[in-house]
Amino acid sequence: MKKGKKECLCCLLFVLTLYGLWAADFLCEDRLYSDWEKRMLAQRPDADWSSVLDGSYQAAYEEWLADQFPARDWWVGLKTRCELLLGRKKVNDIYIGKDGYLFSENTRTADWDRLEQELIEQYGAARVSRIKVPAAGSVLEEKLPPGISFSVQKDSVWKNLYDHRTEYIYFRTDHHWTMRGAWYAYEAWAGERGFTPVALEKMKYMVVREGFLGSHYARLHYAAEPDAMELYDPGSICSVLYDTEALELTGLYRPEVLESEDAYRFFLDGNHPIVQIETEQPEGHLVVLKDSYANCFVPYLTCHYRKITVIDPRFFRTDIMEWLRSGDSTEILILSQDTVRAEWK
Amino acid sequence: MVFSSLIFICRFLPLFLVCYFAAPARHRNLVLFLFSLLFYAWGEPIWLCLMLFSSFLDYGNGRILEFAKKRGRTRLAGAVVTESILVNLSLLGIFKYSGFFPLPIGISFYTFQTMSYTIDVYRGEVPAQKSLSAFGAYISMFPQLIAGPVVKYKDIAEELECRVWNPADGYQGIGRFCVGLGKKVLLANQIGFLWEEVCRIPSGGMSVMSAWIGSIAFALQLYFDFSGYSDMAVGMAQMMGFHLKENFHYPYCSRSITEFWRRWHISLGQWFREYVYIPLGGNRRGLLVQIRNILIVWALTGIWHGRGWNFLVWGIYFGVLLILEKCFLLRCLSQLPAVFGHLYVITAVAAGMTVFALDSLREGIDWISMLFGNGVPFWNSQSLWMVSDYGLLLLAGIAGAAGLGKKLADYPVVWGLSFFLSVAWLVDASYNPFLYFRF
Repeated sequence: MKKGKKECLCCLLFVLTLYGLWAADFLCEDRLYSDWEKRMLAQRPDADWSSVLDGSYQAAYEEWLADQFPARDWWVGLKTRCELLLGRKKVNDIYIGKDGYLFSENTRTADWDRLEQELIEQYGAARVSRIKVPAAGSVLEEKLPPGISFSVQKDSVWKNLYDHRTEYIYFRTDHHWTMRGAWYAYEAWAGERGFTPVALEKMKYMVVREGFLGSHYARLHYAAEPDAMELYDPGSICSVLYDTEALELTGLYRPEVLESEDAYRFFLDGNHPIVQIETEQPEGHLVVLKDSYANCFVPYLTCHYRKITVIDPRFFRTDIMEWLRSGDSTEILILSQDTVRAEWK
Repeated sequence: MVFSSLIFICRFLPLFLVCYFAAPARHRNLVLFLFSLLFYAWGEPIWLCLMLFSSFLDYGNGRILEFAKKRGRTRLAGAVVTESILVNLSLLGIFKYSGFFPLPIGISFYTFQTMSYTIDVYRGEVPAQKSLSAFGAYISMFPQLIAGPVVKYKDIAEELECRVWNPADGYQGIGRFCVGLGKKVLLANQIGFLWEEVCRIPSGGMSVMSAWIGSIAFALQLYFDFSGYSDMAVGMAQMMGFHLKENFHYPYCSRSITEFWRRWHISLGQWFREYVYIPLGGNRRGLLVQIRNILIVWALTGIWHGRGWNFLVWGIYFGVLLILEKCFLLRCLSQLPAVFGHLYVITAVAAGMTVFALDSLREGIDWISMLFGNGVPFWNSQSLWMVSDYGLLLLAGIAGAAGLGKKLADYPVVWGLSFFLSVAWLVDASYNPFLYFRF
């Protein structure tokens, strides 16, 4: 009799679990947008005959169920922790490095090489410069999991970062470099262009956010050690115009996003198609064609140019060559990350 | 719909269980039938007609057969059973082998089941089923509809009419389901990623070790995928009070290929044995006829698995091995220490499964030559990386396939863990961060 009790209890528990999951789903309100995934979530689909018959309604229903599953982030974190227990070195395309460092590849990029080529043909090599941002994995090689390495472009920027790889130059939980990392690239680039960089010690240093969790965290919902977001502010006075419409935000930084899931937007308010900065420097108009790595790099430029136009070609709808022809730019800088892949040592 | 999906676990199954157990016993077959139709139609509403056609036709065939046999009209009975077999085989031929249509899910299973029904009724082993809902429930029973086991009608004929539910069945069924879910989601899918990783290696980067890792990964993936599905099927059937026969019994522990095929996809082997091998004369008409019969059965087993020459070759490969074993190999093996038998089975199966996995024969042969070190280094940095990344998972898979975790599957705590972790993995599979800053 006692055995029968245990069995009934088990059946009951199973059914309660199934209905518990359903009830939790029912009670959780549908979300429109996922902050961590940075995408719109599927919503409840409407059924009609044709969509049911061709199966598209069913597919949409399953997508909705998955996207709105209760405590999704928690489940993802649970799965990551189990995989780490199993000794996995690569989880959800993130390489699990040492000392809390997480690494990712970058397999899709815009065609920056072609852009550089076109610009050099148009304006000559003297006016066009390029910074290829090395991935964290190609600089912090001691932190990688054993057995792999990341592809490396051994130029002066990479070398300067590599020489300072013991410092806090890349985030652990995000794919970007820190502002300190960007400074070493700035130093190497300034050396090549023949001007003196403003020393880090002269900047106003501030930790703007403790416990920053970035894009790597977003994929795993796990981080051994969160990051600290540091600001080295050159302190130049400047007016900043975001986009062509008069969306005038105060300055180069957005402290109000620091507590959100997208704290890297603190720098230059994330990726705008075009940002126009005017400073109190005497002269020079630099056009920066860039991806998100430039966002914490651009503040250093305010010490050297009167005008800086930051364009993200991935979102900028106008033809760039056309736009440049009509402007008064004196220099062009391309700052972006190239394709980066892990290789086996 | 598949079992290893959130929609099945969080919607279909709870809804079904409540409707099924709320219904009075005499209507439960109907509930099962209707839910099975919903289950089938969820992904491919169009192919529902095909399954219904096959079910209704053989329901009618069964009734006519019984009528003919009662009146002693053997020629009519013969004609009907031939017609049933021909129609089912043509359905298979048209939809599976012609290549004009995408494969309707489960067609290989339900056509075999309806054939077993008409043949058994013809042979007088079971009476024809009079209730359309009971017959429909048998053909379309969702636990085994899309991936087996192939249930012979006579095996569950009694339970279709009348089954008593008791808590012990529910308890064991839940356990089987949860463990099967874990085998599919936690082991098969994960180890499958390793196999894909090996497949992506360009031919210049291969090594003997990588080829073995790939073959072992594929063999484990296939086993956990298929046996996990069978476990879920057996488990869910048991929740309702059906007792299906086991479909897998630790096949990788075998010491000969003959034994392997008695432990792998048992229900299909038995089907071919009962409806092809024995009617052809089995082993009772001399060695030559037996060899012919084995080759026929294995050629059929091969093409049952899919369209493409590699499946036929795969089937004949095993047929030849079985014949060799019948003739002398089994005797040799029995005189050697057990370890040789295991090594032989692992090598022969790994090689055979690779032919099964790869798209063309040429690739299969290339792969096998790599397994034995033809023109590639023994190991390289990539194979070491795969070991460091997947080592523990592979070990867990090997231990599981060897039956070392058998005891674990008895603990309800393990079932719960397996269930919850499977949900976590399924949720993660749908989790898809959009990295807008990376184009």
